[in-house]
Amino acid sequence: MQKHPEDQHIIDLFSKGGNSAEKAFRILVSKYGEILYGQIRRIAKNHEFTNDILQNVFVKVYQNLASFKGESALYTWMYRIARNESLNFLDKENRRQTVDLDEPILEITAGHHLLEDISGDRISELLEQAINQLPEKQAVVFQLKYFEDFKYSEISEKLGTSEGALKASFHIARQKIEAYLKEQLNH
Amino acid sequence: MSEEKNILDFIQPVQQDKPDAAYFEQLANQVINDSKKTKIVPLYQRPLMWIGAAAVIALIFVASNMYGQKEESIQLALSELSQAEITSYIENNIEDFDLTSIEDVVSADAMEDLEDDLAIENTTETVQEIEKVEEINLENIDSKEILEYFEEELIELEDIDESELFI
Repeated sequence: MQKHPEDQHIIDLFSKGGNSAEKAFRILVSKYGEILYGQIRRIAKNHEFTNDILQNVFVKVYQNLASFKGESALYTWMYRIARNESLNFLDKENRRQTVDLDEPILEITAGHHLLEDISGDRISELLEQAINQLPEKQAVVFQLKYFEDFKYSEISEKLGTSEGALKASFHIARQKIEAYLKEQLNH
Repeated sequence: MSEEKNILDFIQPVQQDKPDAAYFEQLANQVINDSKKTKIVPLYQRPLMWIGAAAVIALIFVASNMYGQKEESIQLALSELSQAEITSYIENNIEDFDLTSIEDVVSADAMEDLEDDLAIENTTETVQEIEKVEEINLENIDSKEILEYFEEELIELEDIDESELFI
């Protein structure tokens, strides 16, 4: 895996400690905060929860960045933390049942018979389940391409993976998600 | 015709409103400031970690002494011990597991860290910590809890330098 120069710079700067570490952390939040916010928001469904979860995520990132060994891309590592924090947060006290939705996450367009009688919330829930069943790398690629609409070149830069591999990952992820959705919707 | 398309072609994500740059600047500052208030103690310096590690060492001694088996068989021997036997042994022999015993199985660096921790126990702040530690019931700390603690702290077992943790 190629290491992204800016990510490596952040890690190196952070390892110096003190003001350098704080500077590195601000760069990191500035660079990845918005993407992580979007990722968490799709699970948490509203800003209030997203805000709480995102703060927890960055606390853990701040506490553990010094021990990050670069075995995955920095974003992939943070994606994992964000996903775990989101699911843990919502599982506690069954918050999932009491989420006050800010706005819909998905829009269904006419034309597919399996989607005719299903609500946006239900398909959103199924899609989340499908993504959680993907291998981490495929889930990351899918999130960045499908939801964030990044170009492959941008994802390549973030993850240090070739565009060809990303296209393959995204294609496979779509196939797996489609298979999962069809199976669930046919029941 | 719709069957030829992926079902995701009929499900479009709605672009969410996201906070502006000022929100993320404030968030970063908040995390940094909060971390200054709560000093981050590396895992291997946390009292709970040392207690857990000491308990693991004690269990190994239990297994070695009671069964006289080689290290490869210790795992099996431990699984055969009841909670009551383990607890009883630890309570009767805990004083035997002093720093010298621990020193035999940990690296010099890790020992320095442990001794540093113990050396500052006279400070007011540390006394409070120790009081809390003393309240912890050793019976309730098992390997499952330690593993859950690792998971909660996002610590991968394979990432841990054994020379620091000696477990």
